[in-house]
Amino acid sequence: MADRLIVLFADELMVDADTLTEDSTPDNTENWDSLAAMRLVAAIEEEFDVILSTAEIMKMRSIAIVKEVLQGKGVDV
Amino acid sequence: MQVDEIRALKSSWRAYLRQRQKGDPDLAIGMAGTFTIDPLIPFLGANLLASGYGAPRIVNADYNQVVQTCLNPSKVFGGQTDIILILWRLEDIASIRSPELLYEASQMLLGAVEKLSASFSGSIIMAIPPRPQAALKVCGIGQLEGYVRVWHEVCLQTMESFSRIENVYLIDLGSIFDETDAPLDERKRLLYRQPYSESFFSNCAAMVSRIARARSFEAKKCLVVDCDNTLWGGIIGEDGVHGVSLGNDFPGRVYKEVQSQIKELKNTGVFIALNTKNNPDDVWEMFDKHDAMVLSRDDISSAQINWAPKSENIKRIASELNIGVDSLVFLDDNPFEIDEVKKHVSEVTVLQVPEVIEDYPMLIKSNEFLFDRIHITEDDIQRVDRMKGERARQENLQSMTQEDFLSNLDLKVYVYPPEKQDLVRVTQLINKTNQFNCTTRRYTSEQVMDFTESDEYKIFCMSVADKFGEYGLVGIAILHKTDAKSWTFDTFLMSCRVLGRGVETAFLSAISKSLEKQGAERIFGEYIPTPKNTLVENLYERHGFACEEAMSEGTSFYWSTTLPLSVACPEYVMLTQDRFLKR
Repeated sequence: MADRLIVLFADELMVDADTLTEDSTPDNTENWDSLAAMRLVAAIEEEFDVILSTAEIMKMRSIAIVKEVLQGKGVDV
Repeated sequence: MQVDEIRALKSSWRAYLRQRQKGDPDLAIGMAGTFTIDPLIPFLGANLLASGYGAPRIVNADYNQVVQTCLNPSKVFGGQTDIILILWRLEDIASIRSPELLYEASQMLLGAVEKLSASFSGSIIMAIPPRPQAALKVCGIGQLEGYVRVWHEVCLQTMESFSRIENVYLIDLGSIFDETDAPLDERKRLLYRQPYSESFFSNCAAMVSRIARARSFEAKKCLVVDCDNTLWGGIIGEDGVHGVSLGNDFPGRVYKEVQSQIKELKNTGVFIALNTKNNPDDVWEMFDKHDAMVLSRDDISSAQINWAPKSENIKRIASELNIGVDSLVFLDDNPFEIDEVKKHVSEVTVLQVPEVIEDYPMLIKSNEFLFDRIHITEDDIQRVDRMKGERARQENLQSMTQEDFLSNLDLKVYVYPPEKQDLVRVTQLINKTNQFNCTTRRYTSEQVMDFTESDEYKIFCMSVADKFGEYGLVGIAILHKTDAKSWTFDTFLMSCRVLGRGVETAFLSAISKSLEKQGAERIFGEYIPTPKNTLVENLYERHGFACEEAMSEGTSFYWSTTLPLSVACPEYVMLTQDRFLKR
């Protein structure tokens, strides 16, 4: 269900879910700046009930990597 | 604060943003903070929407420019602003290890806010700063560190300076901190320079919203209460004075606590009225004879003890007290009674005693805002005008200007070519800076290394420090050689940490002097507009560059100037020749 993650990103970034893919990064995605990154971290933690370490946060430079990190923590995403 | 509540608030705000209409806001709030306060926005917005504002607008000033914002709010917020919110902490404005500097920095900030309060026609919500958090507590166990004394003094000063000013409301960040379960988030502190959790921001937003709301909505004037299973557990007519629950043991304790809350409300000037289906004798026997009663007969302004419909009693109470029914709050345990009242007197606010009795005190607490009173009267408005007039006339009022503030900072700028140790930071800045960035070109560290080794490119770095601290490497310029006597800015960017201080002028000045010394006669600047960098669209123009219309096309604008640059380094900035020493 990569959808759940894409929907979360679409919500926080205020963009259409259709414009996002697993390859979306801050460089190719509208509104994904450092402030959005802060909001995304909070939203991901709330939605998936996880706590991310700074190492994990720093790694998450694309939606694909976010998915990887979450799966690594046992989240079904 | 539960995660679900947090998510609900954020969703509510996002939903509003998606369907927001163009047009004037019904409440415009400008905020300025010494730390990153963006996380406050969704919570504040959601709270305002819940309070009844249909079109709130919240604008956040740039990072850490509280003083600049106070001195020129319309420039920062644009348009109409009803409320300016100032959130600050001592540890953000100077090092807590130097109490003298800490004190000086806080005087500057307080002075700027005082100036704002004299000239701003709206309301100001000003924080009392929280206790600074020291990295370590060493040695002085049993003694107060210097910064603690400064903090106490500054808090007192904040309270004394502002509690008598009509349009300034104080918000105690320390108490919000204490009331929040897990207020800190160490990762956020290290990652984003803001140490607070979502819960903290949510609680802070609730308080700000409450203050905002109290300005516009009339306070409720009377709390009307049922008696049985509301002021005590049980039914007085059946259980008698000795059979009802009210006392120090559970559940009587809950009712006793609620009575204390109601007594508190009465003490702040709220009318208390009874609305109960009972025999008056039974009720008064309870008031007169039961030891654990907190409320007394004297606390009751109107007693409707009868078998009539409660909605009729409500109207009678309003009429007796000479207030509107819309300023009544009705508290009862019985949903049937609540429905009956709501059906016949819809303007009344109703509260139902929770079935889970331990939630009862929280019910009152979370609705205390209904009685918040910030009453603006004609007299108050005239009083504000009078006070402003007086304050303007006061000779010892520090009339600080932007220039005074800036010269007081003792700004130092060091411009230099990057060294090996700077490579990581340079690459990082290039890749993450969006606002003060003329061309938003991204380079890898290998490419940056190549630039440093090439004759066709020059890289300049800028480090900035002021009296209160060091900002580190905050500016980068990459130029490439266009021809024998001219260079073009491929990249010109600056961290948002140092906005509003004029250091970009010092940077440009130093760069142009360096190029001039090497025989250059002209510099070109390029500006590629993005949604985030409108901040710099007139950067080159401000520095005496002329637009090169012929070279410019849709996505790229060129500017040029001959050397020397017509704009000099600001007087209040000192260009130093060597790297700053660590303090």
